[in-house]
Amino acid sequence: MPKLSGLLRQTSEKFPERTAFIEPEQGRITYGALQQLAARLSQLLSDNGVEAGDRVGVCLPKSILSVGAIFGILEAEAAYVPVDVEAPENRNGYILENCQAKALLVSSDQLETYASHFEGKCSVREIPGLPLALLILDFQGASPLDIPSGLAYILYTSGSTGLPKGVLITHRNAFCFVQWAGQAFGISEKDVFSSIAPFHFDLSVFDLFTAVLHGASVVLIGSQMAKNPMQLAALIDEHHISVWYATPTTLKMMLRFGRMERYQHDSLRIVLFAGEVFPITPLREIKARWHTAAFYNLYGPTETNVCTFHPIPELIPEEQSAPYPIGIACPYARCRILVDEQSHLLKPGLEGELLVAGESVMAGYLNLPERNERAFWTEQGEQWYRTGDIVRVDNQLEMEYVSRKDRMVKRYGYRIELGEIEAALHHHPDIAEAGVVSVQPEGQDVQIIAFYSTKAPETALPVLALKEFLVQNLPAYMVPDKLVHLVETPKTTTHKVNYPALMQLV
Amino acid sequence: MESIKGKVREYLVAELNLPISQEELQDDTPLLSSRLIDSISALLLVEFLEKEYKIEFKPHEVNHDNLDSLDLIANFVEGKQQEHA
Repeated sequence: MPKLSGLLRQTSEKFPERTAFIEPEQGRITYGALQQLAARLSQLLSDNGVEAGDRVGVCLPKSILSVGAIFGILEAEAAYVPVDVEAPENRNGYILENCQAKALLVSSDQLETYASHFEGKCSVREIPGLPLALLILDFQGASPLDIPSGLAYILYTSGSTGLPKGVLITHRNAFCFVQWAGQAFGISEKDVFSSIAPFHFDLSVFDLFTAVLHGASVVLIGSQMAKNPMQLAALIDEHHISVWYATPTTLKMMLRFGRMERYQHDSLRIVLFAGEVFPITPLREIKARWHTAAFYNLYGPTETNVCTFHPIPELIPEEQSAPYPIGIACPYARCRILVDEQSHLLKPGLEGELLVAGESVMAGYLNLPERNERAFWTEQGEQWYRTGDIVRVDNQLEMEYVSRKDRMVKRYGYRIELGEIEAALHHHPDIAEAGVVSVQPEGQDVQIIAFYSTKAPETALPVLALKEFLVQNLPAYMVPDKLVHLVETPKTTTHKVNYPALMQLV
Repeated sequence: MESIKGKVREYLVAELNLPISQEELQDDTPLLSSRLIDSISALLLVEFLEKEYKIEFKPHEVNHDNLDSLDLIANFVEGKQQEHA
């Protein structure tokens, strides 16, 4: 089975002088030079005791250097664990400790933060000539982890208990998708990709590895630029981008605020969207504008990678009003539908929880045996991942997304377990109870509303201070839109938070 | 300067439904980094400023450095107006 690090080695031999990654207004790197950077960092990791199967954290802003770090880690046969540079240090610290990372590659300006976070458990190696450092971590005494062989990376997703959970993805899991996507979308070395999603988000797997497999160039878009539709719209023409992969939220923002009429955007060839449902009106609008591109809806939770797809027709018929289906299974994946604890093959009209099996499905969640038990449905010795997504099978045997089975919501394409927000609120010294709900008004984005009661029941907390507290404890996309103080949180007869009653208060 | 801040303060609280009152919203209260306003509201604010003060943001000017507080917004708007004067 090919390894992801092998992709860069092969391409750098084939196209040493071709541009690999571009940092707008900063610079670019060729495939040859990127391989050298990865080899240097890989050597550094090995010299410092990193071995095959070890985990190495990456806490770097999106940059050529962060790409070099990822390939360097893979070259050392270790697994990379990307964390959100903008997320609270405590959350990232938890992630690194949870996977018992052997080392962390961190930008010079955040070195001190993490060196003091892990005081007594780390030592620092400066890296001459580069604005990053290596933090060697030592979690001695921690119980050994069950790490699958061939682990490529761990992506942490929101956890309902308040702690993020690590999704273990092997080279085999990732490679089947990377290879299929290259073929399905006819990717070649002439393509120019956008890399909008951060590296801790699974959409980035396509941008990084499918591009490298084929020797395409990739324009790296940092977190601030990714939220700035005017800059995004300008970048397409500036860099002649041909492959654009983004969430519907980003595409809708570009339509609304991107001053799209000023640009040609005729270099676009493939537009992929994933992460959430794309309502038909804005899809129709952007498709009309980007008439040179073929559009595809991709679907798949982090745990399965992309596992279904649906090509959007060249012309969206006038009468089409429902969003397009998530489609049919990719060739490496198989789908079944679970209804009343019985699994079924797809047949028209069937509605239930989508189960996915096949090469792309994760090895499991790291160190969460009970959660893994619940995450999989076993049938005749085979494990099927329970997506928690309710789908309906249409007459063409394509699947349509219906709803979620649990309290997970999507915002800007990110998964959010409302329980993680509640857990953060419970950490506030003055909060007695909290219940978080989400609403999505017609034609608008998901809104998260947090209700809380205080230990001094009549006293609401100052909104600004509470928001600041949450910013320090949650990634920005999880901070609620509204914070509502209640004298008493409504309860069910079993003394649990009464969510339907909270919804009545929205 | 003060009139810009006053107008923007009113817009933020009344139109963007900021969850705090005009009195609580200080000149240096962080807006984006505190998540008081989200990225979409920030873009609506840019539209408002462009229309109200007949200025245009260049794509790279839509950022925290120019929008994260009333002080920064007023400075930016004044600078733009002087460019055109």
